[in-house]
Amino acid sequence: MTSTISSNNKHFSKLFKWAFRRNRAIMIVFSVLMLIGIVIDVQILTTIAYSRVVNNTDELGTLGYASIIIAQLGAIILSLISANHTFSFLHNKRSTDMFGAIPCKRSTLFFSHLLGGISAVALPFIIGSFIVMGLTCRSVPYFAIQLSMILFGLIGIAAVYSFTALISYCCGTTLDSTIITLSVNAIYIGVIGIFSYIMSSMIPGVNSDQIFNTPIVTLLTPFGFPFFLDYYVIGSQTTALWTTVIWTVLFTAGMVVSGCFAAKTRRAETAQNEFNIKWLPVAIKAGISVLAGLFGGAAAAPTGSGFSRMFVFAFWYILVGFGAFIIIHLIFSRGMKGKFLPSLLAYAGTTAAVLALTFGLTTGMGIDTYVPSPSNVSSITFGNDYGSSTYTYSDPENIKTITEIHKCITESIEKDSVRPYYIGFNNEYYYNTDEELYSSYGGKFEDLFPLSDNTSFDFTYNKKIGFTTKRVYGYRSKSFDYQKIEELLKKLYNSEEYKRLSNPLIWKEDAKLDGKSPSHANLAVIAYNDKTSSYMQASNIELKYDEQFVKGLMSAIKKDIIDDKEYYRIRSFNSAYYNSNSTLMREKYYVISIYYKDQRGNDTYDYSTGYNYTSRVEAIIPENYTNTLNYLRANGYGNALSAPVVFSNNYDDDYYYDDYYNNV
Amino acid sequence: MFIAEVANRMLEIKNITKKFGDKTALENLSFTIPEGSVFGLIGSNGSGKSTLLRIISGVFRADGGTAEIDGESTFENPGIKEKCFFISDYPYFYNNSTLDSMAAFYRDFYPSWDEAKFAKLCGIFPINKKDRIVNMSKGMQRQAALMIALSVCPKYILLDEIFDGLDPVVRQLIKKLIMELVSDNNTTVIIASHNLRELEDVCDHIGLIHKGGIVMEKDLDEAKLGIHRVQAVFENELGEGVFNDLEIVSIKKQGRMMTFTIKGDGPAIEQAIKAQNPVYMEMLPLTLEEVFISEMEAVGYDIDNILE
Repeated sequence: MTSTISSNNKHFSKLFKWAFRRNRAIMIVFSVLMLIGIVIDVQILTTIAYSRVVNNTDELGTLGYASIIIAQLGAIILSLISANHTFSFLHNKRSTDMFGAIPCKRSTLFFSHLLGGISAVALPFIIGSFIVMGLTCRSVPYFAIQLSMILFGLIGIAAVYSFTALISYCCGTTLDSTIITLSVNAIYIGVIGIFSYIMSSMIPGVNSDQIFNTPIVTLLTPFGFPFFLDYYVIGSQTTALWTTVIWTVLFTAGMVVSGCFAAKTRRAETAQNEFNIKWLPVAIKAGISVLAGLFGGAAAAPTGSGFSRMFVFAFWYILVGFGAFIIIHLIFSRGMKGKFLPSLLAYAGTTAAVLALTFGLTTGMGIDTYVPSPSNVSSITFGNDYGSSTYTYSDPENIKTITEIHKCITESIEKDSVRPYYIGFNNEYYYNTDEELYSSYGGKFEDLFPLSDNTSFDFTYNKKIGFTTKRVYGYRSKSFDYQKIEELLKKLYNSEEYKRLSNPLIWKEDAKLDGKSPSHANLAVIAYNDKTSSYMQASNIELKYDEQFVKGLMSAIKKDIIDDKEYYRIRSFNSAYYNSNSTLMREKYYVISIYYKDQRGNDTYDYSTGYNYTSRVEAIIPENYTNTLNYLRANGYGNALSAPVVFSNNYDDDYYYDDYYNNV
Repeated sequence: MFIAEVANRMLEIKNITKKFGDKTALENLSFTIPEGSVFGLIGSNGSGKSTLLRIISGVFRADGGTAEIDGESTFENPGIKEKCFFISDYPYFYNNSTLDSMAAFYRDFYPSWDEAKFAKLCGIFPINKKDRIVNMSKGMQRQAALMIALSVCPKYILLDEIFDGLDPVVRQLIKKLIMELVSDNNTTVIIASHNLRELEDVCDHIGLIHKGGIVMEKDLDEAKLGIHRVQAVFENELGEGVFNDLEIVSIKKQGRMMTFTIKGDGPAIEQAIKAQNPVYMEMLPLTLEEVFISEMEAVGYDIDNILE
């Protein structure tokens, strides 16, 4: 037994070295490209992005990201080339004879070649990436992210290599193996992409982002693994990151185990000949026909009008799909020699399924009216995807409130009887119903309850079983029950959870932000001018910014927020200031800003105060926040607060300011 | 114990079946090759000779049955494969490999590798150890493969069309080296070849395969003695059924001279012919090629059938 293990180890190390040496050329090319790439990255990207040589932590860190992503791209491409080269011995009858006859296990042959090849690609990648890190990394956060990206690159190399190795064992020729390896990646992401476009253009609420921003896209795209992971780690999408990390590791392990099994069971006579797995080319032919058909159908559909687009889609789907099917069949069979019937049946089956599914979607299939049950939801991200007002709510009462808001929308969809949907329907629906809406307060609805771009409702449901459901309604319909929605939004925005989420700093015990003390504090007075029908910043007063004062100020603000029974109005104050058409809010209010500055150097300049700052925290203080206003008065800012601010059209703007300053 | 070990040291083909898609290459093939013998595997094109060698060497997995060396299956059995070396009809070498680098590759796989023998063979064969093998001629590549095989000193050596592309001098040299290997190492040699003239010189056993089945498997002398050619001239026309007792493979007539190919015991055949009072009669020895043709004719594989 000991002798067998020792012999296996000896054979493994021998074959590992041979596989590694066989990839010498690839390794040298990659090393040279990496070194040239690093210089080019840093120089060219610096010039393009900043028109100067940068020496700033954040700029350098970003350059480091870009350089590592380029290195990952090189590593992924070379992994495909190297894996096909390393396992090409399976596709040659002569080499199959040699490797089949030498005294070693097939599993040893597989693992030695796999690890030898991976090492040959990984080594230059690791060295090059660490050089990049050394040149561009100046702080711990960048160090952590760049190190993660290097790890993701290695996972990507292992995933692509093991996947290509498995496909090599399933194929008789290197050409077939390469076609299939690339096809699986392209088919999967392509079909998802086009289908998500079709669905999002058909069904109200469905948005392509909800698929492309989830780890679903990574399932069968090993070529994209490192880039998806980079995207998630840079964007701090922790859940998506960990889900994808776990999946990529499981995928790679699955490929290795399957590859080992394929190595043991492979029929050596398939070299230079046929596929070792008979159904594989049939599945790929069907998959490519689906991808091409969807592309052809979706591209041609807009040439029709209304529901006829669905028939244009079906016609082009069949035409382009069948063309692609025939081409790939000719390639795999090297002519018309191969068995045609099984592939034809697979093509016919998938065509029928895709067309049935697409036509089925015209009914909405329940997707358009689906609202998850609050009891199945652990949290909901609701609000504006692109702004600062999106928060994740986990309070059961708020979850219920948000699902009620969602139901107001789906009920209107049900009531409108807009079915059947068709490709492009969603856009038409949006433009036909875009009208101004007013709230029960008399102002515009979006002024009081600003959502995404003042118009859209975004819901992301995180289910208790781990899945995510997302709906985005980028339009308004007349039939939405705005009165009910308004009441529900008020309830949500008055909740303690919302107060907590929207003012995280207020709830801190000290005045520090990321360990940094405030550098400045400022009080701005905002007033409404009837003459110009707009809000104006009436004054800026620098406050004390010692920690003790700021801590007391935060404590007073916190008490006011907790006591505020109409907290939803805070959103409107801020929104009204930036919205010149505001008609609702005509009250004086204050904005207290606390500024923080660190040594990283990418400061922002505040034109109204003249401060350079790294981070800023703001709190809106209406006149009813007595604790805060009394605290300011007690600290000597009474004049600033009590000075008359005139809300009339008797003054020109210039006098308005003069008048104010004369009174301070 | 000793008897059991000796009995185990042989190569056994047990009911081997191998299919390539719908085509059956080997069907229920069984025979045994004793230790230390030189076994010539002959057969028509596509009869399954190379397939059989690939199954024995562990390249192919049989669909049914097993190839056993010393009582153990060869497939996925590194321990047994260490005793066995296979040179295929087109030996493979890495693209940039030299004889030296290929020797380095094989050295670790075969514990029986004999460095002194390799050095000696490098002196015998006209091959530069530092030259790239893929640039060599077909014959030179075959010589390189054989040098490595002989240096391994295997207990079993499987050679597929080893004489192809070799000049007569090298063919003689190879036959001599094979015989040396057998005598020094008691190696069992299996040679699949269409070159029956060369096989006749080295083989002591012969196996004839046709359409995936074994037609004949015998000691070579026995095979040759079991079939006879008789030339005879008879004064009178022979009556119907006079040789019904003989197993006549073929009869050819040229003028009055008749040539019989007859299976069976020599003296009995001679007696039966003489009983018809020939004016001339001669028993001629058969070459292996003639035995092959005769046997193949017997199973319906002859020129007339092929042309049809």
